[in-house]
Amino acid sequence: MMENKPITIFLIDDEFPTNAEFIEQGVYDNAISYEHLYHLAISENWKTLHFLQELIKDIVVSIPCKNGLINLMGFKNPSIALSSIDEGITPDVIIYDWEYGMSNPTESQDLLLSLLKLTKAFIFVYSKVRDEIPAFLNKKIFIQYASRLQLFLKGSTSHSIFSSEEFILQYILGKVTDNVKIKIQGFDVEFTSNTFLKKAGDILYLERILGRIYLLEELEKIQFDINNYTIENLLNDSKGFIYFNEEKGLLINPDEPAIIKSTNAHEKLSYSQVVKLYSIAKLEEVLEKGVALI
Amino acid sequence: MPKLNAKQIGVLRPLINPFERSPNKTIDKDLYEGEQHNDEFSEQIHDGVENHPPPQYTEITLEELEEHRILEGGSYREKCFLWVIDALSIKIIWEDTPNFLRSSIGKPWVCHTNITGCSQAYIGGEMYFCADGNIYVNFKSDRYGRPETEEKRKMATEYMEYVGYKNIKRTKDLF
Repeated sequence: MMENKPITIFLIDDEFPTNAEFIEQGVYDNAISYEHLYHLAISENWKTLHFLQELIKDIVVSIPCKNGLINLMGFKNPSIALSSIDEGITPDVIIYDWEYGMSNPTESQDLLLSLLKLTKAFIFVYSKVRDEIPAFLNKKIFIQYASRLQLFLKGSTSHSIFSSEEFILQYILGKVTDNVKIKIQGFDVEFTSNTFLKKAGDILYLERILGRIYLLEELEKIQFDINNYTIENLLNDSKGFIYFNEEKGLLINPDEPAIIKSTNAHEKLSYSQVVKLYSIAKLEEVLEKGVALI
Repeated sequence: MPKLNAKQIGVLRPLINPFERSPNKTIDKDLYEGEQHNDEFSEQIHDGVENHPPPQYTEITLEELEEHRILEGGSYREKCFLWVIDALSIKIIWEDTPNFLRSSIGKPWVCHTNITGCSQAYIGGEMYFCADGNIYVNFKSDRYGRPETEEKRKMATEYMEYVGYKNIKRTKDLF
């Protein structure tokens, strides 16, 4: 069980809807509180940014946020966020919009670099122009930060079982609690940490093992309730198995007849047995590479 | 860089498409977003020659070699270099080179097709530059690995020596 330590989330985006009253109060000039963000989310028209609007709502109404475990703060631009960091507020996760109306994208690159240098936060670079960004991130200077930097397309629903916003949501909630209410393809999902999937992000392993369409169909059958029992059944229902040679310490993909023959592996393990005995990462490895050492 | 000569090509051919030797994988089904291009990685892709270390050169320690069972055919991404012999020569890249377009599948690092740009190649695998002075090589690549013959495996490592890499040692073949 993880200890429930509160975390701070910085959401940096220059396209929060404007609200006349908020402008008058100078709300946008400093860190925007989660109450103000939520007010904007439920009362303003976010137009093409409705994905971000939903993300804010989902974070604010989540149980961890209600229990004071998530401190969500908004910033109209990275400079205000950097000022807050100077004042001693340390974010654990940053959602960083890439575009701030700057003529030169290297400015955004430099601001991102400052955030990486000044914090230990995990940063989601989150943008409508995602495909233009790798040219700026795939540089030597970013390599040292690669383990806490990911790139997502705003509003993308087609690249993974999670939309971009759903991925970010499960990551944030997963940082404060093992059992979370997340979303997959717009459906509410009750996730309980279990023998098979330690954290919600492990659902990506299931997607790669079983395929997205099959997984979605199966999740619908279990009414998106993810726990020990449902995932064991889901794995068993797939009828998937792996060949096993304990003496040689090998797991072998059944699609590798030559290796099965040469290693004389006859024993079979079901997918759920492989995950129970080893891990879901090991099951993915053997399916991806054909053979895995155990 | 020493290009492949006719004898080497004669053994290593034919050039294959990614996954062509895989029993069940295809480009359409198994190549994810961010795995088809190589233009962003041109600075990190090393055209192997004269025992020169590739960019982001890092050595695997003897302890890591044992812990990750490299000699038995195991892998260790943080110290792994991916290699491919394409139509011209050997190309090498550190596996942990960031590839942010693979973020959505939870694997934001490069793969073999990021060396070739999803083009054809003869053969590929992993290599580890070890603190003991050896370079440990295997043929683990679901896109360009699993060579059909021992002759091809031998020729691939001979070619590495031909371009100047020293102390090439093969690990146990899992394929």
